[in-house]
Amino acid sequence: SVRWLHSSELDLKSQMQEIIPEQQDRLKKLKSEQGKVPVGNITVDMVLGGMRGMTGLLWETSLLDADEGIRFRGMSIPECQKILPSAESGEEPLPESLLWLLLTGKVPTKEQANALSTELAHRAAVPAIDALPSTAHPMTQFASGVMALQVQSEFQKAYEQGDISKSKYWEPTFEDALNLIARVPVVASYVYRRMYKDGSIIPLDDSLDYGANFSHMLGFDSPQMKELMRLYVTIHSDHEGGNVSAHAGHLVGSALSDPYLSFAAALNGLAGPLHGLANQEVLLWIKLVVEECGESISKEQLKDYVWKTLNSGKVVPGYGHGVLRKTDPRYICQREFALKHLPDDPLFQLVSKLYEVVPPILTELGKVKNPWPNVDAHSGVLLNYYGLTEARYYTVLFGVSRSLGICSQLIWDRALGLPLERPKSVNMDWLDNFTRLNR
Amino acid sequence: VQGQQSSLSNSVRWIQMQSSTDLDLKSQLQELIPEQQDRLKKLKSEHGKVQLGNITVDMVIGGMRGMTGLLWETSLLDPEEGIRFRGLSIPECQKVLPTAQSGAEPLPEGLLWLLLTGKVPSKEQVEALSKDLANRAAVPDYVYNAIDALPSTAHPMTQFASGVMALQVQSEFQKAYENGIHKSKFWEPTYEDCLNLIARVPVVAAYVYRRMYKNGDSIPSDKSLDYGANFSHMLGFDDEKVKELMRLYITIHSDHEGGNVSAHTGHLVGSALSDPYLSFAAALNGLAGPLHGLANQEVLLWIKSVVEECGEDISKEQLKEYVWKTLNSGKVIPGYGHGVLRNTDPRYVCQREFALKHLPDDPLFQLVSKLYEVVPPVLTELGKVKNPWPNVDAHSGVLLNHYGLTEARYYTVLFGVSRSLGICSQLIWDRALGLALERPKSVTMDWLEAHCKKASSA
Repeated sequence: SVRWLHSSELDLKSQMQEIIPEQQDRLKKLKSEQGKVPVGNITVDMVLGGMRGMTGLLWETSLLDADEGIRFRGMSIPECQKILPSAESGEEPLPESLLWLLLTGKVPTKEQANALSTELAHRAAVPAIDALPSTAHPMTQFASGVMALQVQSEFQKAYEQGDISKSKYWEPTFEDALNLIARVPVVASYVYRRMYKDGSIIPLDDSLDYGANFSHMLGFDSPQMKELMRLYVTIHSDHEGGNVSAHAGHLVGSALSDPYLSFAAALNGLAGPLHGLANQEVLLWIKLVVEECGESISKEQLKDYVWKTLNSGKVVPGYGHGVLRKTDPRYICQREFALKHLPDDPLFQLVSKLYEVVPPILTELGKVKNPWPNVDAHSGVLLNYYGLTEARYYTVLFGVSRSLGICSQLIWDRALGLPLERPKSVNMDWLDNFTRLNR
Repeated sequence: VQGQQSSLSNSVRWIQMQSSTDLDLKSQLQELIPEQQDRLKKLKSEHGKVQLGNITVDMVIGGMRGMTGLLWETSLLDPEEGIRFRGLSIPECQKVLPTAQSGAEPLPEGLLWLLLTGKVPSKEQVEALSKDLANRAAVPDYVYNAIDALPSTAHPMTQFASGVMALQVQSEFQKAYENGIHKSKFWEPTYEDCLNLIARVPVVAAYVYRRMYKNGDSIPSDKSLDYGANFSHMLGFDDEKVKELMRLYITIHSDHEGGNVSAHTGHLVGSALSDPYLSFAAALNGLAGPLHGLANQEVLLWIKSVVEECGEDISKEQLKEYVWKTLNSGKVIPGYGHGVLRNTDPRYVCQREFALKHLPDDPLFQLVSKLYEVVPPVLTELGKVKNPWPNVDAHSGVLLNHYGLTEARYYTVLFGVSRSLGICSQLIWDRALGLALERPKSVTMDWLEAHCKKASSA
C-alpha cells in the first residue's frame, strides 16, 4: 500500500535538473519584459549609509518582511515547523528538509529528507588542520578549515579544465555546495573540541541526521540537545541576501569563485561583531545582569538595569534589527522551545522578563525603529542550558547554519547565470560636485 | 654676514622638512581625519536626500550594474580617463611621486601615502614609510605552517589567502574591540593591522611562490630594500629592471575604485567590523574568481597559444584571422574591454611605455603591440562591444614573463599583494569616517514579479 518512489524523486540533483530550465526562462522573461521598471531610488544618504534602504540584489531562497519576519521559499517559520519532516524521535524540522526546500522551492517528503540526510553523511570526510594556535579566534580557525577544504573544489577543477559551458556551472557548484554543507559541522566540531575539550575528537556517526550528528560531534548526546541543534540550524540558515555574510558569499561567487572561497569570505563577514557576535554578547550581558542583581531579579530592578545600560551609551544586545520591525519569529520559536523543555531555567526566566521590560523602554526612548527581540536574544541561553557555555564559539554555530542558505543560493546564482556584481563607487569629491550641480 | 644668514636659513628649512610629525604617517592621518569626518557629516545633513539615480529591475538582476552604491575615497574611475588615485592620474603619479634612488618608477610606498592622506609625499616621507613597513614585516611560524598544511599543488590563491587568515591571529583591532575600544578610535588599531598586513603580504606571497615553484627554497626579506624591490628579491629576481617592474606593477594595480569584487568584498566584510585580515582574506577570495583576477593569466596563456599556432613572427593579417577565430568560437579576447572603462586603460599605457623602454625587441611584446592595432577595429566591427580597448591585463603577463616570472597561475597573487594598498587604505578611512554596516535589501523573483504587476496597473 506504500507508494514506491522512483529513485529520481529521492535524488535532489535530479529534482534540480527539472526545475532549473523553467526558472531560467522566468528570469529571462523578467529581464526582457520588466527590465526597465523602477524598484527604487538611490540617494546620497544610502550611498553614505551602507546601502540602507537600497534594493540591490536577487536572492531566491528567502525574503524578509519587516513585520512578518523571514519566509523560506515563501514559508514562515511556523509553517515550516508544521509541514517540514522531522526526525523519527523529534518534532523540530530536520535541517535537511529545509535544505531541500531552499534548493527546490518544494516541501520534501520524509523519504526525500532522509535520502538527503544519508547523502550528506556520505559527503562528510574532512582532512585535519592544526597549524594555528589553539588560542586563535574560533571563527578564524573555522574559516581556515574551510579554506583548506577548497583544495577539493569540483568547480575550480571543472573551470580550469576549460570545457565546461556556462549552462553547466551549477553542476560542479552543486557538488561543492553539498560537500561543503556536509563537511562544515565536522570542521566546526573539530575546532570546538580542539579549543575547549583538549583536542579529544568525536567521529561522525553516519546513522544520525545532520543536526543530531553535529550535536554528537560537539559532545552533546541528549535528545533535547539534538532537537535544539536541529532547530538552531534551521532557523539560522537564511535571512535573505543583504546581510553581510550572505552578501559576501554572493558577491565573491559572482566572480565565479568556487563555493569554498565564497563561503569562507562569508564567514569572515560573519566574524564581524556587528553581524555575528550579537548572540554571544547577549549571553555575556545576561550573565552580567545575574552577577550584579542575582537570578531572582524583579522586573523593576531589571528595568533599572536596562536604563543603566542605555544611559552608558550601549545598546541592549538582542533587540532591534536592520530590517525587521516586529518580534523576530526566530525568537518566538526558540521561546516556545524553552517554554516546553526548560521552563524553570533561571536564565530563561530572565530572558522572558526582558521580553516584558525592554520593548516599552526602547519605545519610550523614541529613536528606536524596532524595540522587539531578534534571534540573538534567545539562542545563547538555550545553548548554555545544555552545557555549550563557551559564548565565543557561538558564531561558529551560526556559520554552520548559514551554509545552508548561502550554498543554496550559490547554486541558483550559477543556474540562473547571474552576472558579476559590480556597483559603482564614488568619493566625496564626486558627491560634492554632483550635489552642487543638482542643487 | 651673508654666510651666516645662509647657514641659518638652511638650518630652519631642515627642521621643517625633518620634523618627526611630518614624517609620521599616523600623525598626518590624525590631523586629516576630523576635517573629513566633518565633511561627511555635512554631506549627510545638507545633501542626504539628493537623488543619485533610479534602481531598475535590470540592475537588481544584473549585478548592480550601473547602480551607484558605495563611498570609496581612495580612487575614482572615469570611463574615459581611467583611474585617478586621490585625484591624480597615472601619468601625474609617475611625474610627482618619489622614485627609488636608482629607479624611474614611483615607489608603491609613495602611492600608499597618497591613498591614505590625499597628499603627495616628499622623498623623506616615503623613505620613512618604507622603513616602517620593513620593520613590520615579520611573519610568525604558524603562518608558514598553515600554508605547509596544504598540498603544494593547491591553487596559489588558496595558499595565499590561507596565509593571510593565519596572520589574523595577531589582529590588533580584534584585541582592541574585545577590550571595549570606543568607536571614535576604531581607525587606530585598524591602521596598525593595515600597515602590518601590507608589510607582511609580500613575505607570505613570496613564500607561496618559492614553495610551489622553487622547491620551497625561501629567500628572507632584505630590510635595506624598498617594498617593491624587496618583494622582487624574495621571489628570487634581483635584476634592477624586475625591481622597477614590481614597483610599477604594485602601484598601478593598487586600487581601481571600490565596486570591483575584491575591493567591494573587503569593504563589505569590514563594515561588520571584521578586522583587516578577515576583510582582506575575503577580498582575496573574490580576486581568485576567474571573472575578476584571472584575466592576467588568461592573456598570457592565450598569447602563447597564438605563438604556438602561428609562430612569433605572425603578420597582422594572420593575427586578425586568429582573433576572429577566437571570437567565433564564442570566446572573448582576454585583456580587452572593461566593466566601467570606455577607453584604453592608462594602466595598459604605462606598461606599454615600460616595455618600449626596456624590452622593445621582445617577441611577445611585439605581438601585444600588434594586437593593440588589430583587436580594437575587430571588436568595433563586431558591434556589441562597449569598450574595444585593452585593459591592464593585456600587458602585465608579458612583462612578468619576459623577466622569468613565467608561472601564469601565480599572477593573481601579485595582483592581490598590490590590491592590499588600496583595500587597506580605504578600510582605515571607513573606520575613521564611521561608515555604516553595508546592508542592501535583497528580493526574490516573486517579489519582483509582484512589484512589476503593481507598477503596470498603477
